[in-house]
Order: sequence, then structure tokens, then C-alpha cells
Amino acid sequence: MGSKMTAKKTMDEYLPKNAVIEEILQETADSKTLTLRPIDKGSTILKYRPGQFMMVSLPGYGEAPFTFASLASRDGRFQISVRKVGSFTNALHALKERDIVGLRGPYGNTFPLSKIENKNILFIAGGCGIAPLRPLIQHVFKNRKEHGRIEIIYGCRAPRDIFYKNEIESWRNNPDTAVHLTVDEPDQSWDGTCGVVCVLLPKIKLVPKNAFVFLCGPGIMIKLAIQDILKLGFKEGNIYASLERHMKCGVGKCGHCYVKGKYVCTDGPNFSYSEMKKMGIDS
Amino acid sequence: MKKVLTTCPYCGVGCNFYLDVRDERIVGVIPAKSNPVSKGYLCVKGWHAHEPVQHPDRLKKPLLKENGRFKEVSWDTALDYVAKRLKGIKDKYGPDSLAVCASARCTNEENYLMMKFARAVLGTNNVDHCARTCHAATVSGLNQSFGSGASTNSYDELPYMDCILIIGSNPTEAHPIVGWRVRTAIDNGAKVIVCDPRRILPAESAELYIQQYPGTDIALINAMINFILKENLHDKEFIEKRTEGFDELRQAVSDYTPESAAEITGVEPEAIKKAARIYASSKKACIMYSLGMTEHTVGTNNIISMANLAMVTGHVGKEFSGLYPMRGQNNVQGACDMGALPNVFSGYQSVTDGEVRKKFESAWGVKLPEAAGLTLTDMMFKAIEGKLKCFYIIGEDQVRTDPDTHMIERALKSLEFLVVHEIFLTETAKLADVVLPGASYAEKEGTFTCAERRFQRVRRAIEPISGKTDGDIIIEVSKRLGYEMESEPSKICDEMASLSPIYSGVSFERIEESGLQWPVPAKDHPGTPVVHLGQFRRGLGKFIPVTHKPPAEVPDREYPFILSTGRLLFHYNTGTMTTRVSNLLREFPRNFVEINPDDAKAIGIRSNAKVKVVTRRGELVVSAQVTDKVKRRVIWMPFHYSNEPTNVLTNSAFDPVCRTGEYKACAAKIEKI
Amino acid sequence: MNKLFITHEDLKTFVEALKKTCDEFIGPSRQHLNDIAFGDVKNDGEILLNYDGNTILSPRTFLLPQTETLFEIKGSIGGKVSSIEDKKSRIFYGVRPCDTLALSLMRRFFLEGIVDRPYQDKMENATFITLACAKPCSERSFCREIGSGPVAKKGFDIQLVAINRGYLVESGSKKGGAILRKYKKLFIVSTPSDIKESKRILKDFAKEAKPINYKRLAGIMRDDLVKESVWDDIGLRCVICSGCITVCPTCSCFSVTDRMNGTSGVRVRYCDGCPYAGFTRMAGGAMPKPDHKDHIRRFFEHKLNVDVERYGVPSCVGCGRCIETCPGNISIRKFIDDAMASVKK
Repeated sequence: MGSKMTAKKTMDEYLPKNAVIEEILQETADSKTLTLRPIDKGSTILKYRPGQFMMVSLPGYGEAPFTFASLASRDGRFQISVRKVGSFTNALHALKERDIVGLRGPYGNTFPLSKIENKNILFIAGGCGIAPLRPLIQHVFKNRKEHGRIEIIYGCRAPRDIFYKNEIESWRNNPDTAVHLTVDEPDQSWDGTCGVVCVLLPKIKLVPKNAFVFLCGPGIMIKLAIQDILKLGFKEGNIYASLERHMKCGVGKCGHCYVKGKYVCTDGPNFSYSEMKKMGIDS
Repeated sequence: MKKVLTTCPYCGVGCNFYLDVRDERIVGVIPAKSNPVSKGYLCVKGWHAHEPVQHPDRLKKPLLKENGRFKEVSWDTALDYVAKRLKGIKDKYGPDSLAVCASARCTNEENYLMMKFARAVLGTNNVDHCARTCHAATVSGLNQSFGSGASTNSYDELPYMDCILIIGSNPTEAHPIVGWRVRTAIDNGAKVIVCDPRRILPAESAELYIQQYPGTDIALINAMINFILKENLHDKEFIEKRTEGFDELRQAVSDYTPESAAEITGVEPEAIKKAARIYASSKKACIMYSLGMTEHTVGTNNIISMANLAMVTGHVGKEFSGLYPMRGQNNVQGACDMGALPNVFSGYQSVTDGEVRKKFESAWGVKLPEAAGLTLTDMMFKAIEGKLKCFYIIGEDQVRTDPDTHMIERALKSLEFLVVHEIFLTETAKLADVVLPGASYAEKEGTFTCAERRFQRVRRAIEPISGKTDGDIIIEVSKRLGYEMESEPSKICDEMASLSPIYSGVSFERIEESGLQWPVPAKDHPGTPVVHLGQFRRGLGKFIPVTHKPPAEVPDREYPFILSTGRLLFHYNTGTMTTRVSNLLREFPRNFVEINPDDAKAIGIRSNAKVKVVTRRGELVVSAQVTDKVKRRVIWMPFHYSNEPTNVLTNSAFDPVCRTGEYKACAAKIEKI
Repeated sequence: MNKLFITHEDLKTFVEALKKTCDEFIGPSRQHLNDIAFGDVKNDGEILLNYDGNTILSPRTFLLPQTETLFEIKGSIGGKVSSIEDKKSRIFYGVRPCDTLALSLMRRFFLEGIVDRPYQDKMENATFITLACAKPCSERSFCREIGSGPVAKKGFDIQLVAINRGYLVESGSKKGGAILRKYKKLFIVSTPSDIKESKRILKDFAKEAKPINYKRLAGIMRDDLVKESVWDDIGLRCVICSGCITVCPTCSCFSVTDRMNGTSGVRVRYCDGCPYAGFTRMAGGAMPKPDHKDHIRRFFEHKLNVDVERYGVPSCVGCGRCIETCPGNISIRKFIDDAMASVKK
């Protein structure tokens, strides 16, 4: 009786598809940027938009979520940045170029690309939080004329912890764009600002009305930065944070990222501050 | 698909559950509502008891060490070799150069075989097990006071108590389903008094919380007795009719006023008086204790002092009273009961008693050794001295459980031959010459005895992964040494019952439904929930005066902290099983040291900072947890992490009577890194 | 609606016939003493056609087992990962109305949005025969009050209501209707007195039950009006045994891990959930809500607040299993009363 049922052949969402590591860059002392290229037919990974993430799968170590850290190149490559914090990322760091990893995705919601057209945009990033924002930044610079003034604030613990150093310099060359960097622990070579990202907020020359803000970084940074941004007059609905949560499935089933009815993996990871308030969270 | 009802392999409460077996894989655990101990409740370890059983790390083949490295060999090769070496050492050095460490994790039947193997086959009384490291003090202490060294009452009386004095025990974390009954008692209005250097969970709902220094319990209890006598709160009728030695006790406690005890214990005199008053004037009151009382150089005396307190107030020898020694392991009560001890056969019958020996010699068909054997503690010392040549260890990880790890390693390395039965490759197994892969609780038939003296069935859910159970292995080695033993667990139980008067009514058939609490002196006896009813096993309860003696190592200028060790809810002893369960490991993945905020500030450390804990035995780098749960000048560490072994720090000082180590107090210092 | 009827004898025949049509026939079977648990009774001669009380665990234990292998892994880096499929056809007999409601909610949860393939495989090949309750299964259950029993309104393929001379039978789905048509020789039309009898039994059952206004409860929780002392007490009692999340018919959280034996192994999913601190702890140690009472609070919010919004009904079906397994004596029933009573000023 049971076998007579026409079971729809559903794609097994939990089955990873393979990708090859094309290049590995040592970004900072504890972080690497991996360039990946999907090799399995039927992989939907490249359909991703800025803001989304995927699950990386390593047999023997399980899976972990990583946001796409770049726009996809024309020949089907993209980057993720990985900070070594636990057993999974340790194993990922031990891989070499030409090694294979499993991928599932893309998952999550995208940044509101159409809403930000012709608007001024402020990006605030802390540490490796620059990685999820990078595809959006790249998208905005790729379509420079369609957006207003761009200000980027990026803070790290020390100069050696700054990601994408060369690319950041190139961002400065864009018209009507300012890039501000700050560190907590300067070294001898550093002659820039010191302190948390909020110390740079007074420096921005951006009109808050109708402008958009995108934040990503440690929870405490998001919490405090949003408080300061609100004081400057940015609208709650225009402030977006890319949130981090422990995830195991990425598709809204395992429950780890659930917050008051919303799943950070399917309803997020990007939430406006008004949505965050409804969820009762500040980071 | 089948559901197999069995007893939990972790702590001494003795919960039951069904193992859910589908296609030869154990996929989950179903609580057993019909079981009188657990009644459908389980703790987090029990809910995951299926996970370590079929873990990929399980040892599947015997390992023989060649040139310092292990080689997988066949069962025959391994067993032939073990038998040959054992015989060789016995012939060359005599039977007392061999020793057996039985297993408080294995079944009663297997422990019976282990002690029979030591005595009848190897010819020595050198058999002991890890009760030595935990409740040997209970056995030696209560034996003197009452004539029987086990729990006096049953779990189901706890919810109806008016007062529960919890001292040196953390039921919520170490015995969760007894902790449930304590919670129910509180919900029913019971007054709980918690005495612990750490502010454990029950203290949050307690009527009174006393935070004494580790190792000052006799002073505390003597002060309570002193106050009770002064206020005339003692049970004169009970003392008159059912005890002896009261005058000596009265004399001995006269020096211990609450005010004088306050200095020693660090507890306000008013608190001591309040505790005494509540306990003495409650109608139904009991004392629950565990390793906080036994793991001291004065462990035996600690227990005796509690027995004194119970007798002085008449809170023993009747329903809704008594002492609850919370036994640590699933079958440590059973291993003691089965005589896996150097001085007794099964049923606590002395090996030095000629009549008893004759009975066993006749049943076993062989001459038996006459002198009591070595305790586990002294086996280690004798190994270092070179007097002990061979150690046969079953299911025990001494290198991680015994105090002063470096000394234990030296002891085991001095042996000529070391055999270890294990299910995972532990640190002790790594030192062995031969490792024999044993079976977990889910792979054997037998019985466990829990802390309320209840025999319960253990049932096989899957076939032994290595092909043999620990009982099978002993029998095969014994066979090769020329001695045949009964292999069927129910028949072993029958043999044991026929030779041990206090269990003579125990059989698989009789315990099938709900187990049986010993003493079960006859085939139709229903078991004994409350012992010492009417009269103590020794007749009259004996008051034995005891005096405070500080721990063997007290803090000084160089080592200003008292280091105490203990357990977490999520892990079990050396973590061999629980660190292989994802949910359990995730809660507490690493070792840590709890330190009082004032002390932390003085050193200049914050939570999660790495610190070095140093004692005269060794040092260990762990992360600090700053919490006001611990008293000032006291630090506390769990010992569940094999790669961060706490016992490198603990002191190899032992109670002179029961030879239990002082895990709960030694001197330490903390260095900032 | 014309309800059908089947005698006790014919029900035996029906069950025997059904057993031949499936891989596993999951029915209530007596374990030790009074314990009843679901098991494969396909090859059992006598099975429990009617029983008092409820099974220790709900059918969740077959649709979302405590541990379940999802994939086979061969090789480490670049290794091959292949799905392990469980497409066994199962007929579940004797499912109680509370568990039946739970199944319909879980079906929606796992199959809406991105489909959970392992759950779908099992669900598609499962048939549910519900057995309504003639009397309360235990003191702790409250299906009448929360509206999930004693008769199921949906989620079943076939429902049986026991009366004296047999059972009333109704179909709840196309699949159920097809089965009843296939074996129509065993069923007759019920009489008006049959219907009267069943109505009386159910009325007796629900006699003293005061319905819980769960929409009001959800509103109270949504507006965070429950007194903090209620949450503090629950946080103190909860010892993270994980019993509630393992026995609850509507708990669905899990975690995934790889179990390797050398270079081959399996990817396993296993029961996980709110009470654990590690459930939301991120690599690096950060935890969104570090207090333990907020972890166990999530269980209550999910069942009684958020799911009312999502499904229209709470996902607590009043089976009482969590109450009967909590060593901290936490009762979700008592919580509901406390929450409704103690509204913050």
C-alpha cells in the first residue's frame, strides 16, 4: 500500500555537492581566504546573491555555515574567508589547493539590493565581519553610478588582522567614497585611527535620512554601533545587520538558530533593526 | 526490532531504561516507567547511554605489546599468552605477587568470577576494586557503628522526609534521579540542609546552606551533637534502648561547641545551631552523603560521626530516617557485595574466618589463601617496592582515577606483567602488556546492585562487539590455568546465593520483576527496604567518639589554596564514555578550575583565562572559572578529562583504615600565565 | 456523516490483512509490567487492539529517531557522501489523538519550505490508524483542555473509536478511504445507538475539562507579561536532562555529526534542543542568551506562543509526557496556569 504512493523525487537538500579549492590565501595569522569552484553537475551554489551563505561539508568533521565573501567570477569561482576557531575550521585550514570540499546552498536571504539603489550607504564591519559585506560592497562598486555616497568603516583588533588589505585600498579610488580603518592595538607601522568602530562615526560625511547601513561583526559591536547610529538619525528599517548563529542544517529544521519564531538561516541572516527588535535581540 | 530493559551503566542510583534496538543498532533509549528506581525519569547521561556502546573507538581485538607498540592478535594467542605469564609469575614469585583489580562497572556475576579467579585460581586474596577510592570508608565506618556498611533506607522514603541533611554530596549532579526525590521532598515542604564547600544546586532551594572548609566535617558534626545534647534535643529512649557507648560520645563532643567549631570549619555558630536544631527536631530526618565525606584521610571517622549524629537523634533504624551513602558507580555496591575485596568473600564473610573458608573451599574444590590481601592503594605501593609483579585490571583506569597520577604511572610501569580488560583504549590500557577488549553493559546478561541495595537485571541488547564478555574472558583464562568455572550468569548468581547468607534468596527469576533489596536471607523473603529495624545488625548501635584531624596536607605560604575535586552532571568519572557523546562533551568540553572572585582578583585573573594549578605532585594548565560558588581559599576541579588529568595534582594520602585517598583536600597554588 | 462500524473479531481480521501489506506494522506492545511502547508487531500473534493509557514514546521515535544515519561517507577529503534512504512502508496502529495532532504539525514543519528528505521518505510511506481515547491516559495529560483529544480532528488516515460492541470507524484522508473501500466487507454502517454511545463516552471524558484559552496565553507570552519569578523557578528546577525534548511528540530539533571509523563512516543526526547551553553556543564561545533559564524558557515559548502564530494551535498537545519525565518536577500544565494567573503589573 505504501509503495503505491507516488513519492515525488525530491532533491535531498542535505546532500552536499563537491567543489574544488582553487586557491588559498593566508589573509591574517588565523584566517585564510579560499577560492572555490563547484564541480558537481546540478550544483545550485552559483545562484547566490550578496548576503547569502552556504554550508561547507567535510567528511569526518561535519558541516559549518560560511557566507559568500565575494561576487562570483564569470568562470564560476567565488571566495569564502575562514577564521580558525574550532575543530571544523582547523580541519578546513589543513586542506590544500586542489582538495575537494562539499557545499550545500545557497541559503538565507539576500541584502535588499533594489531598495539601496540611489541611496547613500554606510558599511560598518568588525574583524572577519567584513567578509559577508564584501559581496555587497563589490556589487555596489560594480554598479557605482546606481548608488549614492559610500562610506566604509572597518575596525580590527590589530593591523595584522585586517582582511583584503589590497582590495580595500582599491575601494578608496571609487568616486564619492570614503574608507575609514581603525584598530584596537596599533603597531609601530600604524598611523591611523585607534579605538572601536564607533569612534569613526563622527568622521562620516553621509546624510542619514533615507541612507542605508549594513553591519557585520562581533555581537557586541553590532549592539553598540546600532545604538550610536540611531542617535545619528538613521531609520530603524534601513539598518541591516548580518547575524551569526550556530547552525547545523541551514534550512530551518535543526532549530539551533531559531529566535522567537524566526530562523536566522532562512529568514536571515540579514535582518533590519526593526525586525531584530520584534525578535527581541540586539545582535 | 526489540526493546531491551536494562540498568544504566553510569552512577549508583540504578535507573532502568529500554535500549531501542533496530537492525542490530541501538538507536535510542526509552525510559522505563515500571521501574521502581527510575519510574520513567532519566538524567542526561542516561538519555544518551546508547551512544558510547557502538562508538567506532570501541576495542574490537586483543592487543599484545611488542617492542613498545600494540599489535592486534587473535583471542587464542592473547589468552594463551596471558595464562602462560600468570602461571610463570605465580610459580616464580608466589601467589601474593599477583593482584586483581575487579570492576565496579561489570556485573555482580562477573565480579564474583573475578574474586573467585583471584582466590581459587591465582591463590591470592589480593583482589580489590575502586570502592577503595570512594565508599570503602562507608563499609569500614558503618560496619563498626551498625554492623552493616550500606544504605540503611530506600529511595522512595526521601520525598516524605521532613529534613534531609546533605553533606559531602551533590545529588542533583552526581545522583540525578535521587536528586529528583530530594526536589520532590522540597516541593512537599521538607527542610533541606546542605553542607558543602561549594554552593551546589540544592543549596539554592535549601532551608540552610553551610559552607564549611573541606576536611572539617567531624568538627561540624561533633558541634551539632554537642548543641543537640545541650538543648536536650536528643532521643533519650532510642539511646537507652538501642545503643551503647553514649557516655564516651558525650565526653568526646564536650570540646566541640559551635563557637569553637566555627573557627575550624569557617561556619557561623548560629548556622551550626540552626542545622542541629532542624535535624534533631524533625520527625523524619535522614543524612545523605557521598564522596565529600569518604574521600579523606579521616574518611572512616567522618562516616562514624554521621552514624553518631543519626543515633543520638534516633534518626536511624526505622522508616523515614537513616543514612544514604550515595554510591558512585553502577555496580560498586555489587562489587563490594560480591566480595571483590581483600578481606571478605561475597556477603561480607571474612577470609580469615576458618569456618567461612572451609565452606568456600568445599564449594570451589580448592584450598584458599588464609591471610587478608592488599587493598588497591597498597597494591600500588607494593608494585613500586617490587613486591607486586603482576596486576590484572578489569575495567578501571587507575592512571586517571587514583590520586597522584605520576606515582600510579610509576607503579604500573614497575610491574613485570600488566593485563587490562577495557572497552576503549584508556591511559591505563596504554601501559598494559596485553589489552583484552571487554563488553559494555549492553552486551551482557547479569545483575547490578544499586545504592539502595537493590539487585536489578542487566540484559543483553547486542552481541559482544569483541566477541567475548569480561566474564567469558576470565573463564577462558581460568580454564587455561586448569580451573573450570560456571559460565552461565544465572547459574553464577545461584552459586553466589548458595554461599552468601544475606543474598541466599536472590536469583534471576526472583529479581525479574522489580529487583530485590538485600538482605534476602531466604528463598521466599521479599527483600529488605529498611535495615536495622528493631535492632542493628550488630545488635546495639555503637557510639564511637571521633575527633577532628585536619587533612594530610593543609595550605601554607607556598601553597595557599585548598584544592578539592569532584564531578559534573554531564560527565562520568574519567570521561571515557561521556566525552564520546556529542551533546555531553559540548556542554563542558574542557577541564577548568573554579576560583572565588576575591581570590581571582587578588591574583589578577578573569574567567576563561588560562592558569597553572600547581601542587607538590604536579601541575596542570586549565582555564579558570571565576564563581562565588566556592568558598574563599578553596578551589575546585572536575577530573573528567583524560587529556587534562586533574589527578596529577591530588595527594596520595590515605585513610589508615579503609585506604581511601584524600581527593577532597590538598594544598595548591595558582599561577597566572 | 455516515460512520462505519467494525466488530472486535473483524478488527482482528482487518489488522492481520493489513500486516501483509507493509514492511513494518508499528503497534502498541506490552513491555515490562505496565509499560506500553510502539514496536514492530508484524510477526506478533496477539497484538494490543485496544489499550489503556498511552505509549511511553510517540510515533516520533520512528519518524525522527533519537539517532538516525543520514549518509554513508567513504573516504575523507573529497570523500563520497551518499544518502541512506529509509523508504520502509509502515502502518502505525493505535496512535492516540494527541500524537495524531502532533504528527500533522510535524508534517507541516518538515515538509513546508525546504523539504526534509529523510522525514518525507518516512511520512510518505506511513499510514496512521488513530485510536481515540475512552478515558484519560494519566493524571498529567490535558488533551481535553488544550483541544487535542480525546478524538482526533485531522492528521489520521483512519480513526477508531471504541464502544462496547466494537469500534466506530472513520476515514480522514484519501489513503484512509481507499483502505476502507478495499476491505469494505469487514465494515458495516453504524447504528444511531452506536453514535449515541460514543458521544456519551466522549462527553464523560471531557466532563470536568476547562478549555485553556491558548490564544490568550500566547498573547500574554508574546507581550512578555509572565512574572519573572515563574521563569526563575523553572530555570532553577531544570537540570538539562533532555527528557522533555526527547519525549515531546512535537520537538524536532536535531544536530548532525560525522562518526568515522578510519576513512569511512556515517553522517548521523540525533536529538538536540533548547535546554543545552551548547545548543546555541557558537565556535569561539559566544552565546546569544547566556542564562540557563532563557534556554529552557525557549521550550515553553516555542510550544505555547510562537507555534500558535504559525499553526493556529499550540504545538503542545497535552500528552503530559514531559511532566512525567522531568526530574525537576517542572509541569507545563502548571506553567500554563501560572502564566495565565501571574500577569506582570
